[in-house]
Amino acid sequence: MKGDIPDKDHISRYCGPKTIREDGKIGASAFILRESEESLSVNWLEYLNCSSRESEIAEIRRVYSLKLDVRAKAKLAVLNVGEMSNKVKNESPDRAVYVVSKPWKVQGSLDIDKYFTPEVLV
Amino acid sequence: MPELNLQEKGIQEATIAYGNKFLRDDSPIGDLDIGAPRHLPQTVPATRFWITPAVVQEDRKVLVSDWPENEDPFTQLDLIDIEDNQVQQLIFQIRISTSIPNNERLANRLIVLFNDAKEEDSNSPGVAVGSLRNFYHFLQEYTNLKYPNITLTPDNNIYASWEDEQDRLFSVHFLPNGITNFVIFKPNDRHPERPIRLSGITTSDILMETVAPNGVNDWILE
Repeated sequence: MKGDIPDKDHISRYCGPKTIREDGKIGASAFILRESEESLSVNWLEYLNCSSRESEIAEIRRVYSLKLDVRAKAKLAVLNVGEMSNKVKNESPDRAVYVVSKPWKVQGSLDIDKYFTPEVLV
Repeated sequence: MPELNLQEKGIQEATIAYGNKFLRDDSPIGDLDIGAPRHLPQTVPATRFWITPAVVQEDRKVLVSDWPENEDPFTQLDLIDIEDNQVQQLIFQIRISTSIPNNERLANRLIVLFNDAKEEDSNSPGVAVGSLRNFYHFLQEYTNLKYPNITLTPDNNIYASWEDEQDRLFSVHFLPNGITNFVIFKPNDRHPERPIRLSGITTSDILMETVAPNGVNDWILE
């Protein structure tokens, strides 16, 4: 398998309150797979085609709020695809991370173009 | 989303602020856990965290209406209640175990995580019972641990981390079956660009002796 998201692009991951440490940092547990999962679900920020990171974040928060009950203590982790992949490759040469796009549609929405947002699997 | 109100009644009062949730501790002063068996007592002191009546009613109405007709909603609710009680009893045990360093702080942190997980999914046990039991046994086994960073995994298992200013990190994922997944990161003095990563799987009762050769005790023990 090989990732299809460019190294220069960024992904975000919703990190619920239970994964946030007491010092406010995002804990590693936010990136652990559920027993039933084979990959980690994240979102591709550049796909949103916004003018700035702030507007990307605002948009992704709006999209998450359609899908999740977003809590005030929750955080968004934003990662650069290339940096993330290289970090894993350098520090854990026996492991690899691939970022693969897999679009989804918000459940219950009628207008797929309006609500369509890319979800990528790490 | 209904709020979960964790509450205890009692003699020895300590509260933590968490939105409109609070905890009161009624553990009898001097009720020690030294030498206690590594399992929960059959009778737990009269301490309960409970859901406020309004929340219970609201939740149950929703749950019952969503169940298929051929399932017994009371059985399912009972299961949730049983798991909730087990979690709450374990947290209480941590709170009153004076042999566990930072016992009150740990209990308060677990309650916050319990509430966070319940807010996310009111049908979950908050914290996975087996994982919490595994963590509790670990705390009982090693009574000179520094206070860790504790979070929950997506499956509500306990994930504890100890790190220091020298970029050394020891993280443990407490699985529900007594198993732990652990990882160690520490600097590589000869090749600073290549930190050392060691990981493994073992039972929580021999975790520390398993990782001791890697110097973990230096930064996680008091």
